[in-house]
Amino acid sequence: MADKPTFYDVFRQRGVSRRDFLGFCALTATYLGLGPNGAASVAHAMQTKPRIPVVWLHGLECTCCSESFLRSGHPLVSDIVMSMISLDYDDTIMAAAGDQAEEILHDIIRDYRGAFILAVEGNVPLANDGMACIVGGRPFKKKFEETARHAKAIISWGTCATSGCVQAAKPNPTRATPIHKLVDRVPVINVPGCPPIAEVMTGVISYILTYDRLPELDNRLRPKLFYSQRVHDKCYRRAHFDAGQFVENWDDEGAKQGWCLYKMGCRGPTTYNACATIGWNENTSSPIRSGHGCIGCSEDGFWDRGPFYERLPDMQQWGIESNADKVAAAGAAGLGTAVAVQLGATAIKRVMKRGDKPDASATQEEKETQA
Amino acid sequence: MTERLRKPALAPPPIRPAVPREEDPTTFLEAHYRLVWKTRMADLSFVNPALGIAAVGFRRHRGDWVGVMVTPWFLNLFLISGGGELWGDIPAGERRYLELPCGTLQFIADDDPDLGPYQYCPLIAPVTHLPDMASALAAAGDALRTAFAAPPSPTAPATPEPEAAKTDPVPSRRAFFRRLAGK
Repeated sequence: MADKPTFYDVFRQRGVSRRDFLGFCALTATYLGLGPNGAASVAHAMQTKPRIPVVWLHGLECTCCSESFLRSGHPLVSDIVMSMISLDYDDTIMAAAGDQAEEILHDIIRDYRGAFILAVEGNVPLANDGMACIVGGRPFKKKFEETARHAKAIISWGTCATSGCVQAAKPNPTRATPIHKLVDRVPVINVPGCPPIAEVMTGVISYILTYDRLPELDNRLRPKLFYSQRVHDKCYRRAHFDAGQFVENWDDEGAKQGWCLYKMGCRGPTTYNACATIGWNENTSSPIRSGHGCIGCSEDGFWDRGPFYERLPDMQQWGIESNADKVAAAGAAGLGTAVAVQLGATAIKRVMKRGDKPDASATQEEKETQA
Repeated sequence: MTERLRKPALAPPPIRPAVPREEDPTTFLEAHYRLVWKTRMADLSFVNPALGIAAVGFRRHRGDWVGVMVTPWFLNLFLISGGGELWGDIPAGERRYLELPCGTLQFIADDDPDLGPYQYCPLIAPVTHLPDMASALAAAGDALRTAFAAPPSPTAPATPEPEAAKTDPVPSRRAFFRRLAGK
């Protein structure tokens, strides 16, 4: 492995200064919530570990995940793409074409069997033996099967890959099937969103590449770092929700004042994503900040959850305030007052314990118990 | 680090400094939220009609008013300016961390046209799983007691009983085959 360059080597070859490199490590460590020593450990890993090749496949999808990733605010991200992904294999942005391109894919599978990361954008249509998605003259289904079983781990980019997105909307004519339902022996990490936030994508890929393992996942295989809180929990319009100040019509006074968009169909209370904290396009804005409700694009089956501009139909889909404790909440529902007495105390303790980071599994499980 | 290329699309609203409240805000808050409930919140799905409005245990802490507000749609810890040192003016929609006896809590700032600037820490929302007002009040009282109590000394968390201990350490041959058969 000694002849294989490290990430740092690749960065330096591309003329990235050490200062910029360390800045990137610090930023990544912050997104990943690694604490004060995180930047040093990221930097150390990047300077000592040989880079891991990434194969990026495109199935039934629109390439918006690639678009999001490439527009990541930090310039080094483009270097990551160019040095780690494009040189290996990516349908969209690699220089090679035709047979040459397919040759590269075979080479990677041969040279890095069981050692490369497979990033999949889009899902696999199974109907009619996969004829709804043909890549390189063959069904994508075949290409995916051949590649996936040799991968070390699979990253499912975007809602297409994690739950099917619009292709899988009822009646799902092509039987578009999410990635994690098609593999059983290779670990899968789901990074939903239509598209996912660029910083989330680079955060996930940096974590895997530097630490050589998957970040902690919740029960839907999503990294807890980014998908543990509802958009509603961190929304800057949250206070308007609690105060009962709602936009009732587009362009009414409430809309101009930036009040809560719940009545206009905002899916913030049921959506787990980092839009409210990390934001989009280098935190320039986010859907809610631009005056439009959240459409819940990172949730399973969001196309089938009713019209985007009608308010959430019932409580069944609601997530629970990230501060509320799972046990206490469930207990209060089932056992009544005796347990509810502990509810307030538990809520406070929970807020304190996590500081700003809630326990994702609890909120997520709670959500599912409710559903 | 490279320079930031893009500017935020939306600047936070200008800060309106809070006017310190001399008297206990209990009546004022209850009246306000009663009105909100009747007017803007009445028909919403997350409102729990079994609950009512109550401001619980408002007291001065380091000069400012702290208490728990119970409404049919939330149970939150409130901070109202009383001219003390806990309060700090920040733009509405932003968050700040406050030191309470129990530890550090995150508060969301809001500037309500009727209430004026206030800050709150969301505790329980939605409150649809609270069966009645009595349990909501109990939860509120409990939250307050916890907030103003010293943090518990760090003790070793109770270790859950290992799975192995529950089962027979030496399974019988019969049990072994039964397990294999999935019974």
